[in-house]
Amino acid sequence: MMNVMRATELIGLPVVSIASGEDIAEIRDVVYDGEEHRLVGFTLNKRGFFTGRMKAVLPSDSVAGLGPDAVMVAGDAAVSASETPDAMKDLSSTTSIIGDRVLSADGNELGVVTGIVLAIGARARAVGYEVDPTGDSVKVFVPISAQMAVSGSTLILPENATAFIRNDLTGFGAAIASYRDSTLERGGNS
Amino acid sequence: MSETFSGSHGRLVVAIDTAEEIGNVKGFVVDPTAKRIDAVHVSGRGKNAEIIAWASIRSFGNDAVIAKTADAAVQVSGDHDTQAVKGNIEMQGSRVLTTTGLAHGTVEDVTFDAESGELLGASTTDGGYVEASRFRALGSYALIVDLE
Repeated sequence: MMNVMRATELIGLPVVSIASGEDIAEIRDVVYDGEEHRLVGFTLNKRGFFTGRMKAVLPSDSVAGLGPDAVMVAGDAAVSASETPDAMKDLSSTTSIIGDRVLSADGNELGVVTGIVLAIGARARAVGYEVDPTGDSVKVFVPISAQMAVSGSTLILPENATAFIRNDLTGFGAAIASYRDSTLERGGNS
Repeated sequence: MSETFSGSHGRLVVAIDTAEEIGNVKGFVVDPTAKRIDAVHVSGRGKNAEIIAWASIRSFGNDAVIAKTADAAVQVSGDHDTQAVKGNIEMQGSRVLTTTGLAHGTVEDVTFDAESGELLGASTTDGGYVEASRFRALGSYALIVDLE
C-alpha cells in the first residue's frame, strides 16, 4: 500500500523545519517536468502576515517528508535562493503535462491529464496522473511509468500499466504499489 | 514518580532556607532535544517572568515544590526562555507534526519524572501518546516527532 495525494493539495501547506519546529515558508506552486515525468520542486510563498512570493525555491531532493499536513525539510538551508536547480531557474521552459492527451497502447483515448498524483512519504515523487475521460464523467488515475512515451502533447500508456488504472485515489495507492513491484522499473528504486 | 504539566499547574513553590513562598508553578521551559525540563516558570509574565532552573529545585513534591534557596528564582533572560514563558514556544497546546508531514492533533498534556525533570512523553488531542524518545524539536509552529 502506498499513500498518495493530488499535487494541488500541497498548495498552501506550510514548509516546516524538522530541526527547529518553525514554519519557514508555504507551498506556492508545484514545478513539474512533463517530459521526464519528474517532480522538480516547489515555488514558495512567505509565511505569516506579509505573504508574497519568496525568491527561494524548494527542490524536490531537499524534501525530507511529504505529507497531507506539511512539507518537511531538514532545516532552513533546504530553502535557499543560491542553490536553485537548473530545472527551476527558468520556469517558462518547463513543459507542463496538464492538458496532454493519454492514449492506451491499443489505441483507445483515455482522456486528458488534469492532475498529478504524488506519493506521501520521505521522498517527494510523482507516481500517477489524474485523467479526465472525454465524454465520461468519472475521472481515472493512471500510473506513471518509465516506459511512457510522450510526444508533443500525447502520452502513451504502456500495455502493462492498463490493469492498474483506478477511479479512486485510495485504490490507486494500492494499485501503484503492486504495479511498481510487478515492473521493478527504474532499477527497482521505487 | 511521574507528574503531568497540567496536574502540577498552580502548585506552591517554597524556598527551603527561608520558608518563603516564592511563587506557583505557571509553566515549564523545556529542552525537547535533551528531553528534559530546563526551568520552571514561577511568577510574573513576559519579560518580567521569574524562573527557577531545574538544578535549583530540591524536590518537586506532591503538594509543594521546594526550591534550594529563596534567590533561586531569577528574571527570565535569553531568547529561548523568554519565548517559552511568553507561551510562543510552549509544549502544551502545541501542534504535533511527524517528520513525514502528518499532523497528530495538539499536545494535551506532558508527563515528566518529578525527580529528574526528564520528559517522559506527551498525550495528544487525537487520543495518542508520543514517547519522549520520539521528540525532535519544538518551535513556534509545531512539536516535531519521529514516526513510531
